[in-house]
Amino acid sequence: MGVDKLFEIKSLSKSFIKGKTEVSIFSNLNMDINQGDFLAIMGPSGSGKTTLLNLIGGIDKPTQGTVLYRGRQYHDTTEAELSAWRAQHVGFVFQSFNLMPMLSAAGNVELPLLLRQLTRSQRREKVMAALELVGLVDRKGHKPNEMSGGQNQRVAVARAIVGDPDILLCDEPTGNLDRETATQVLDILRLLNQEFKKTIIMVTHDPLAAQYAKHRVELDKGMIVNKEVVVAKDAVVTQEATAIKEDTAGMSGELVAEKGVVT
Amino acid sequence: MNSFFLLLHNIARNKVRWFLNSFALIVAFFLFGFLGSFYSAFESGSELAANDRLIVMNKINFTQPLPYSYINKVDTMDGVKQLTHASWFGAYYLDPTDPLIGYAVDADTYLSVYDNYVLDDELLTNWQQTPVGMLVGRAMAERYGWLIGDKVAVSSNLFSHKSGGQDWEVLISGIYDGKDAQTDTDQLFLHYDYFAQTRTSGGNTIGWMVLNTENAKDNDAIMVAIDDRFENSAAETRTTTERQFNKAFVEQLGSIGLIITAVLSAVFFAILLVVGNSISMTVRERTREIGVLKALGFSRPQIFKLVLSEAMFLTLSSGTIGLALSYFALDAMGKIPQIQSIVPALLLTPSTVLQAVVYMLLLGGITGALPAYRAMSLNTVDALRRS
Ligand SMILES: Nc1ncnc2c1ncn2[C@@H]1O[C@H](COP(=O)(O)OP(=O)(O)OP(=O)(O)O)[C@@H](O)[C@H]1O
Ligand SMILES: [Mg+2]
Repeated sequence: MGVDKLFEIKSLSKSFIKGKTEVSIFSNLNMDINQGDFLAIMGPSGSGKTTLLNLIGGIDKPTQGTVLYRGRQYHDTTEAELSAWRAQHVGFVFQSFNLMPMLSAAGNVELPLLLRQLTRSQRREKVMAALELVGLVDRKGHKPNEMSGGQNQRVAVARAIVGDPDILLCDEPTGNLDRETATQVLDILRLLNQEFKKTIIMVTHDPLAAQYAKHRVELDKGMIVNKEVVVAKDAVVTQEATAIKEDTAGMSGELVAEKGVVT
Repeated sequence: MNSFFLLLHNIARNKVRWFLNSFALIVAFFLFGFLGSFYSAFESGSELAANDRLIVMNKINFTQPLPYSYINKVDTMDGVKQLTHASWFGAYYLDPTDPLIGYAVDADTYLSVYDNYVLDDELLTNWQQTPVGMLVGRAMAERYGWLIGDKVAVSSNLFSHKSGGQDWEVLISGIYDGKDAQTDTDQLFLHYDYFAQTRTSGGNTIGWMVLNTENAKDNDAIMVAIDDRFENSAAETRTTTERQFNKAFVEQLGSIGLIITAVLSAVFFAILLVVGNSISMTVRERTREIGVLKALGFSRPQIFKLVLSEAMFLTLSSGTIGLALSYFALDAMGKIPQIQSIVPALLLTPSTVLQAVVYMLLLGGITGALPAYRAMSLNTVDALRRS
């Protein structure tokens, strides 16, 4: 059985107008992302990692090219449809947590659920389940400034998954965390990927974080300069990764960002 | 938690600013309710006096009677729609030092001319068909604990009863309410026939006539025609509109009204700028959060609604508090006898409340719409990059 392609990035270009000149971030990027993958996007600062993530998440529009989600174009739909799609399928985790300062942990996690037709008790149930998963049930009444960075990021992860999306987009989720708390967050991400079958796309500088991914791509100067299957320290992942690796000859299951870009 | 909670959370973020805005709005709506009601209470005397209601009285003064025969003569004149008459009874109940407002009237026609007295048809008929029946207002009935069917004796300080004394035995057969709060319900009405037949003096006379005209435009002509009709007779008449009584007073009030309007407009305009500015400020400060909400899947209309409802909530809640304060202030002032004698029914009128609510919605809408639009149109990526 082949692996389902969740995203197909096709000849994707993005440039910004700065003054009178057009600055290209990347052009003609090609890459597939499979369902169930845990992909780390790496690369130096300014290489366009966040921009790529935003494009995948549908909060930014490509200059050229397309991204398909399950074979469907979604960037040329209305903003309302894109919002609805995000609300249902995508969870975002940001480097700087981006929690609402006056809301408790539970309140922050509940935010995306306000977009759903749910009763108060249904919402509560989901919020508690999400907090349980990130191990913060006992912190549900705490405001962001009453918690550590690691706890805040776990709240952010809970917020991202509370609506049960199939994709998690994480932009340097461990960027503001020390090693130990970063590990906690990454463990949760791995759990979400392995047990809950979430597809995770994570931008990171952090080699530790990259260890948790199944695949890794490196962006530089607007090109995918390197792609590899991670041989993780985790046994399960290793096996699976090896399996995929062996599969590569026959199936183009995993990463097909063939020399990503033609300048 | 729900969207409303999210709104409260945004309010709680900057309590000082919220408090200042709210305070300004409370003051504005307090002034609006207070001044507006004061003004309309002043004016209501003249408003209540319907413009097409004319009063025909003896030219000497209104305590002098008119011959009963005038009723038919005026009633048949052109332009007269409905006519009724009344006589001052000089009433009191038990305590001669506490005079009451009481008239002997024609029960069949009086309430069609004074349509601001409300009672159901059954009671009206009951009163009309009871020769010794008395109609009283709600306030008076409550003061004396009178109920329908009670037999009481009301006294006159002007007339004597044929069978001796100054008491008239009557049967309470109707209690009326005012159409609005300004209508006087502290009055009593006897049947003219019963009164005229049992009094020792006064003979075949009435106090004055009140009439409606077909068309208020003809009032001037009709007034002249009536007074001309009785010129050089034994009882000459003077016909005026009810409103004329208050005319001079109202003309003065016109300029007060203008000043009130000008001051309130200035206050509201200032508030529009202040509140508008501070709502835009809260949106600017929250740019990044709005970006996050959009990334989470909040749609443009949802963001618009969120910001707009904040402004609406601010103006509606503060406005309501301001109005409530004005209600209590007016209530307290209305109880002071000196003020009562100038403005009898000082209270927050429904029309003032309605106007205030419209202004709250307008203020909320105007101050909220632009920031809400700006929030809704924020580019998500740019908003998220903002630190
Ligand atoms: N709205 C914009 N207007 C102009 N230039 C922009 C805009 N957004 C991003 N850029 C530029 O695009 C390039 C890529 O930005 P991006 O944020 O995607 O990089 P990154 O790889 O995420 O960097 P970092 O590791 O520092 O987060 C940068 O040079 C940035 O200055
Ligand atoms: Mg970045």
